[in-house]
This record gives sequence, structure tokens and C-alpha cells, in this order.
Amino acid sequence: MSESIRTSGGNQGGENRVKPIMGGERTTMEAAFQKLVREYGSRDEKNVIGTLKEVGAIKNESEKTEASVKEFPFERTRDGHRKLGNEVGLVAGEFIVGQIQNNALKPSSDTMSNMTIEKPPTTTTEKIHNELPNNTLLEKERGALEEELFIVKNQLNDLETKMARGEFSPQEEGGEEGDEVFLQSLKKQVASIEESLGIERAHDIEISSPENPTLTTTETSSIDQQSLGELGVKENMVSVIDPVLDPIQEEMRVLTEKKEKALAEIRDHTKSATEPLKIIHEVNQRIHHFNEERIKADVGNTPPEKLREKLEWAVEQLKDQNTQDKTEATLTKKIINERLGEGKKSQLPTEEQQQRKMNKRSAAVPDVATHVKAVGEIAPEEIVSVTPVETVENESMEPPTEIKDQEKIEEQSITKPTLEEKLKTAYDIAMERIATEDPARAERLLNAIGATPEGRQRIEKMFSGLENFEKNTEALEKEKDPWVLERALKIGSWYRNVSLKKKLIASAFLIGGASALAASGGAGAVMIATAAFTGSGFQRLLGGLAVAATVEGVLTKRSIAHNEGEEKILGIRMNAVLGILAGSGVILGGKLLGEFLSNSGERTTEALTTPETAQEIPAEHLKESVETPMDTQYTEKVGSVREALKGESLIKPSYTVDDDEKLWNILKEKFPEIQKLDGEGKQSNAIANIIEQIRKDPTSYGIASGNVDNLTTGDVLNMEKIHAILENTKISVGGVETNILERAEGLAATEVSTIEANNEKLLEWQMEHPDEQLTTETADKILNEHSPASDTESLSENLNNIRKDMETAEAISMKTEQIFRANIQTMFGSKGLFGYGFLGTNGERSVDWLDLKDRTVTEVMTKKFEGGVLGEEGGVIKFGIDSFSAVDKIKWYMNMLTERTGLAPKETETIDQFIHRAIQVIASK
Amino acid sequence: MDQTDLNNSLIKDLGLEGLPREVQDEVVARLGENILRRITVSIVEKISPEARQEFDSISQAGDSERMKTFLNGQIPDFDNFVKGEVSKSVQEFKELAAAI
Repeated sequence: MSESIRTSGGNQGGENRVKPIMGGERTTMEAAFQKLVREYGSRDEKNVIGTLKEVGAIKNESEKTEASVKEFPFERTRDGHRKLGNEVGLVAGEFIVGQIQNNALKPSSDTMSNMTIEKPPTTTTEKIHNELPNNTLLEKERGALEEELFIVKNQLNDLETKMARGEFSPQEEGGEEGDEVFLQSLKKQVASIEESLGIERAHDIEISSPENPTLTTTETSSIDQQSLGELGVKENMVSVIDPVLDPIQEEMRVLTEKKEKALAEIRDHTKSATEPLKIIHEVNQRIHHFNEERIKADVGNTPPEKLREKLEWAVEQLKDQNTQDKTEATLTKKIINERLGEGKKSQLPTEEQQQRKMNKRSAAVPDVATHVKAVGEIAPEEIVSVTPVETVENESMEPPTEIKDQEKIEEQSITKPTLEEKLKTAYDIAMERIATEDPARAERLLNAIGATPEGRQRIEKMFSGLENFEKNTEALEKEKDPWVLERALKIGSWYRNVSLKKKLIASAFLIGGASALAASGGAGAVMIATAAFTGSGFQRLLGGLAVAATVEGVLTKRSIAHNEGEEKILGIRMNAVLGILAGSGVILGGKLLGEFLSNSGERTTEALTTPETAQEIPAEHLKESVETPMDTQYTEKVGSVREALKGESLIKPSYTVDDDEKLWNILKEKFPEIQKLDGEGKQSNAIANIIEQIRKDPTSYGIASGNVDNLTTGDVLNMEKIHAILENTKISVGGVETNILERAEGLAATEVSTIEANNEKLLEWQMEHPDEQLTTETADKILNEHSPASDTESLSENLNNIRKDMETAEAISMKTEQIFRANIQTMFGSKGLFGYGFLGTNGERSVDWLDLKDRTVTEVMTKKFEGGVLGEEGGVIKFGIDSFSAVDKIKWYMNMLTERTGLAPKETETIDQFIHRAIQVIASK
Repeated sequence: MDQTDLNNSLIKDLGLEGLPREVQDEVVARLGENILRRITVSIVEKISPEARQEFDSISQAGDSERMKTFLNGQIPDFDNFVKGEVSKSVQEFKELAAAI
């Protein structure tokens, strides 16, 4: 307990109920504080202490131990919440107790003892306490006290759980002794509030004090004991600890509300209790069912060798008089016996066995109990005789009568599960989990599994093992300190958000780094974990460690392997790389690799964290080195790694431009996604579209000149940002949005051939003009030079292509449109060099085509130019019908169509209409 | 150790050889996630209460190098500790898969 921090305030109203405390929201306690202050009439919501002192809600003697509420660490964590809740609850509880005592002795007007300012009670709590002597609480007053009870029980539950685990507050906050004092204080508060509520308590709460070592209150079972406190506390914990349980939490919240309402009606006495009791019965059944299912899953996933331990725990709990809730243990025992498929009694240890094992038992609680405590799931503590509540009265190992009766019923209906059923359970859970995350992935998996029926059992076994492994991970997490838990959950969340490919990389490093492949590994795991802790983007991580990027490159290629043989080769390479990296210590990075190369005078350590090429080191020892023992000189391994890296592109966070480097070439060399595109045409399209995006703001990508055609030596390109273009940029093609890579992949054969042809033109130009820079403008000029002969060939080729695979009218129509666009693009667009992005003029949107398309064929075909072929002479740019170039193009295109189809344009037919008609005729021949 | 053979690969090590690629990837990826979470728990719980704020601070700053230095200071023989935790986890997985 923190004696140094004594904020004050009670929690009125329902807002203390389940509320998330992460994600930047106001904490529940903050809200409670501020509401409290408002109720006291203060304008300064943050001055809780001042306000409470002013109204006398805080006793003078405790002032010296108080600290400003502003100094309280409002950690938006469960732990912070708990601490604050403890403090608030403690002071509020003491206040209430004080008020109760005062009310018993003094008139209500004097309830605020030690007040410096006398004022009438303003809060609900005050009013309640002022009226307490009459013991006639109104419903809303009762509700307020129940809220107080809720808070205090929450604190008590938390504290008891922690103390049971041996976790105590730091010494400076009172340590174990302080916690014990606090524990007693909380118990005292619970007792007082329950007494105020007139609750007949269902369990003992021992309250110790120097004067009164043990005070036991009187208990009997009642509906109230079942109410807000227990349910609410656990519900709250669920929400904080495990967001995965949100749906369950929501269901439980609804059920709890329903039950609370029913309880309130019963307390009202003015209505019949029949209906509320029915509701409570239903709710309890649901809760019971939920718990049963949960425990079944837990037991079902527990390895056989651990079942005995769980069973022992359950029996021990049933025997333990201090255990208030026997339901968890009862269900656990029942389900374990079900699983074991043996007679219940034969599964129970003998008293001697039990005693021996109890003696051996440590304070550690088995998984089920830990899980239940951690997630605070609701125990189906039944009321109104819906389900028997076990109360073990003696030390006998014989189960209580109710349990035996229950077991008799169960024995009649239980069928021993087969091994296959057990496997399927965990397997199904695993598949459901995958399906939840990614339905498509689940489907692929199922297909893969279906394709190999002989391996089905093996796969299921593997998945079941994985599922159990995950269960164990969750159990491990949940028994940890909330601060630890929160961070583990964040890491899990971080990991789940990365792509499968990157998960494979991370896993390879994690597992490979510590497996038998590794002699000095672990660095991979360290690297990944460190990156995860710091929230580093995976790309940055890969960029910072060239070896990792290499693995990604291998994996990428592996993922696109076209046949089994290729995949195997890539797989071997991947394994070789991983093995070398993990086993040799090269994975340490950049460091070892850098040292080696630094010593050889080739590169500095720093530079080598992102090696660019692998050519300098002749390394024919890939196979040789991986067969070499780990402790051999790693120079060979370095060579091997670099050999393995050959051809693999690296993605690194930045790239420093060298002399005379071109953006185009850099992108092509550094992005494996581009390299894996099939052919020069598609690669060019993707690169051009990337550059088109960079062109919008070159400096933000690291191009100091602001011109994509003019990189300066020393420019540091932001490769991460450039790479992001690939994923983030959307290109609209035919009304459908695709990203750059999809666009490139989807290029039509005619588009690809056009691009490749234009690339050749540019190459030719470069060879003829070695001293000139090929800029965007130059390229545009080169490619837009009119060449009737080449255009004719291209257009004719387009028309031939559409004849292929023409079987249906629909196909013809589609192909007609496709070839129409391609031809218009060829004539009036930017020749299709870079698709519709780079250098881009969409032919259909060109000013020439827009002007010409709705003119009649006659008008265009009879158009004459007095100035001859130089229609744009005199520096005046002309377009459409006034442009010699545009009209000339369309004329010979129309002539070609007429020749190929034998069609003659109709008098009023427009250019657009005739072209469509002609192409359709060709396609349908 | 001939690592040019798939028999000595990661896949082999985990007993995944011969399974469909999708299955291999799924197992490896999920195993990695769990191992990462376990490492996180193992590492983070060893950070002293006084140093937790610094951990969060470095984490928020996104400084991997500083984080590595910090963790080295918090956990003796940090690299081997991590390696040991991973090895334990992998071993547990293998046993669980074998036990079914």
C-alpha cells in the first residue's frame, strides 16, 4: 500500500464499471475523481485534494500522508489503475466507515467530523450515510453503496491474488507488511459496507487487528453476495487483461446487467420474485455453461502428464475451507475425469496420496487456476439452488454429496473421447484461430491438407501441438505482472500485423538463431526482439541488417518459384543462408561481417551493415562452407554468405547515390518486387509508375535537385518511403484500382511489347548520344516521333492479337475494347512506355483524340494542310483536326482498317464509331 | 553438418519436412509469434521496477541500438539468455507436437 499517496474520493455512479484503460482514454479513476469534485461543488476538477479538504471529506490527521493527486502516476495500465483504485477505495472506504460510526453516534448534520466548512450533504454517498441509522436504504442509495462495494472488492481481489503469488508492493510503498495492513483495511471496508447494505454474507472475511486479532462476520448464502462485486470485479479484469476475450466480456456484461436488474427487483419486495428468479436462473446457467466450455478447452489442451497436477489442484481446492468458490475446482475435476475416461472415484487420489502431494505443493497454482485468476472469468457461483454450490465441510477426500450426485449423472452420459477426437479438438481450435485472422489463409491450408490425405494426421498433430503451445504461452503471459503482460500483448499485436512473409523471416531468425543449427546464435532472436520492443518497422530492421534482407530476398523468390525443382533450390539456398547466419555468428551482423571486411581493407563496419553487392569476394564455397564446422574461420562463411547473397536485392532504409547513378537503375537493382516481375516491359512499367510518384515531391525522397532525372552524388534516397509507393499507390485501370505491381503484372501483351519496343528506342538513342542525358522530356520526344511504318506494324499486330482466343461475343466485345484502347494509346498516348502513369498521356484522354473522335470520318479524311507536314511550324502548337501529325495518324489508321475489313465508312459515321465497328469485324472473323 | 541439405534445415529441425508449404509456413510463423511473446515475457519481467520507465522510454523512441544496450545492462549475458529461452520454447513445442 502506498501510504504516501492518499488521494481521496469515492466512486459514485456506474461509470466505474468496466472501462478500458488503455489507448489514451481517461482512466475510470480519473473520471471518478473529477465527478466527485464536481459533486462537491468545486470548479477545479483537478484539485481533488484541495476540494476534499475544503469540504472536510479528508480527515486532518491524514493530511500529512497525502500527496497531490497530480503526483499520482496515472499510468494507463492495469497496474496503475489498480493502484489508484486501491487508494481511492481505501480512503473512500475509511470515509464510509467513519460516517457509519459517526451516524451511529451523532445527528446527521454532524456527519462530516472535523469539517472546517459546514455544509449540507451533497453527494449520494453522504446522503446515504446520513440516513443509515434508519437502515432504510432507497434503491439508488443502495446502488451507490454497492458501487463502493464493487470497488473495494475489486481491490481486495487484486491484492489477494498478488499476495497469494508472493508479489508484494515495493518496500518504499510499505512492502509485504504494508500490503497486509491494506488487506485488513479492505476486508474491514467490505464488512462495513456489506453491513450497511444489510447483506448477509456468504463467506467469512477475517479481519485482524492488534486489538481484535480475528473478527469473523456472520455469513449465510444470499442473492446479494452473488451480485455486483464478484461479477463486476472479474468482468473488469477480463477487459483489461485480455482483449481477445472482449466478445465474452460483452456477453458477460449483458448477462450481469440482466442479473443485476433481476436482483434489484427481488430486493424491491413490491413485485413478484418469480420472473427475476427465472432470469437469474437462466443467466447462471449461461455462466455455468461458459465456464464449463472454457475449462473443457483448457483441460483438453493440457498434456496428459499435466492432468494429474490439475486434478490434484481441484481436489485440494474442494478440500480447502478457505476457498470460497468451489465451482471451478468441481468443473475441473469433472472434466479431467471425463478426459481420462476413468471412473471418478478411481481418479481421486487417496487421502494419503493427497496429503503427500499437498505437502509437496508449492504456492504455485496450476494453469487453470492461474488462468481463471488472471482473466478474472466469472465463476458460476449459483444461487437459488440452480446449481449445487459445494461446501466442503471436512477434510475427507470423499467428494461432497452434490458432487457425487453430479458425477453419477455424468458417468451415464460421458463417452470416452478417442485420440482422434482429442486431436481434432485442438486442431479445430487452431484452424478456427487462423480462419479468424485470415479466412483466405485458412482456406489455403485446408486445401493443402486435403491434397495430402496421407499426411492429414501428421498435420493435425502439428497444429494441435501448436495450439497447445499457444495455450501455454497465454497461460505464461497471464500469470505475469500486468506491466509485463501488457508489453507481451503489444508484441503479439505487433507481430500479428506484419505480413506472413515477414513473420517467416522473423521466425527463421528466432528459431534458427537458437536451434541446433546455431553455435553462437541467439543474436537473431535478440535482433527481432529488440526491434519488436522498439517498434521498429520490419523494413528498417531488414535494411539495417543486410543479411536479413537477403533472407527476405531468398524467401521472396522462394515464394514465386515456378516449379518444385526451383523451389527446392531456393529452399536450399534459404536454409544455407539461415544456417550460415545463425551458425557462424555472421548474423550478429553487420558487426562481424563488417569487422572482417574492414580488416581486409574493403569496407568499413558501418558500410557493411548494408552491403551492396557481393562481387568483390570470390566465393565458390557456398556448399563447402556450410559443410565446414562452425568454429572454422568465418572468412569462408562470409564469402559463402555473400555468394548466397548474390543476385538478391537489398532493401535498406536509405541509399546514397554514387556518381552518375540514375534513379531508374537504382530502383531496378534494389527492389526485389520489381525484379520478380516477368520481363522488361512490366518492370519498366512499375519503375516508371514509382518515379511518377516521386516526381510529385522529389526532395522528400532525398533528391536534392528536386528533379528525378538529376540525382546528385551523395543524395541519400529514402528507400523506405520509395518502397512504400509500391504498396500505397493506387492506379485506376478501367475503373479498377490496383497497386503498381498489380498494374504491371496485368499489362496486356500488346502493352508489354510496346513498352519493350520503346525501351529499345531509348537504348538506341542513348547509344547514339552517349554524352547526352536521357531526361523525361527527351524520352517523350523520342517516343513521340512519328513513325508511320512502325506504328502500322504495331497496330497491325494489335489487330492480329485480338483474333486469338476469340470464342464468344462477350470475349469479342472485351477484346475489341482492349485493342481499341491499345491502338488509341499507341497513336495519341505517350506510346505506352510507362503505362498511364509516367510520361503519361492517356491516349483516350489526349487532346488530339478528344478532338477527333466525334468528327465524321469524311471530315477527317478530307482534311488538308496547306503548310505541309510541319503543321506546328511557327511555334504554334496545334491539336486534333488542326494538327497535321494527329490527322495523319488517324488517316492511315483508318485506311488500314478499311483495307483489313473491306468496310467503308458511312457518311455520318464518326471516327470513334468506325474504328469500333472495324475492330469488331476483325475480331469476329 | 551439411546444411545444403533440407534435412538439416529449419523445416527439418522442426519436423516439418514433407508437409505442404502452406502448413510449414503457418507453423513456422505462429511458432515465431509465440516464441517472440515468450521472449518478451522472459526479458521484460527481468527488468527492474526502477528501470521500467527507461525501458518504455527507449521503446517509444524506437532506438534499437539503445534498447540492446539497455537490455544488456539489465540481463547478464543477454544474448545467451535469449538463446536459452528460445531453445526452451522450441523444445517445448517439439515435445507437445510429439506428445499428441
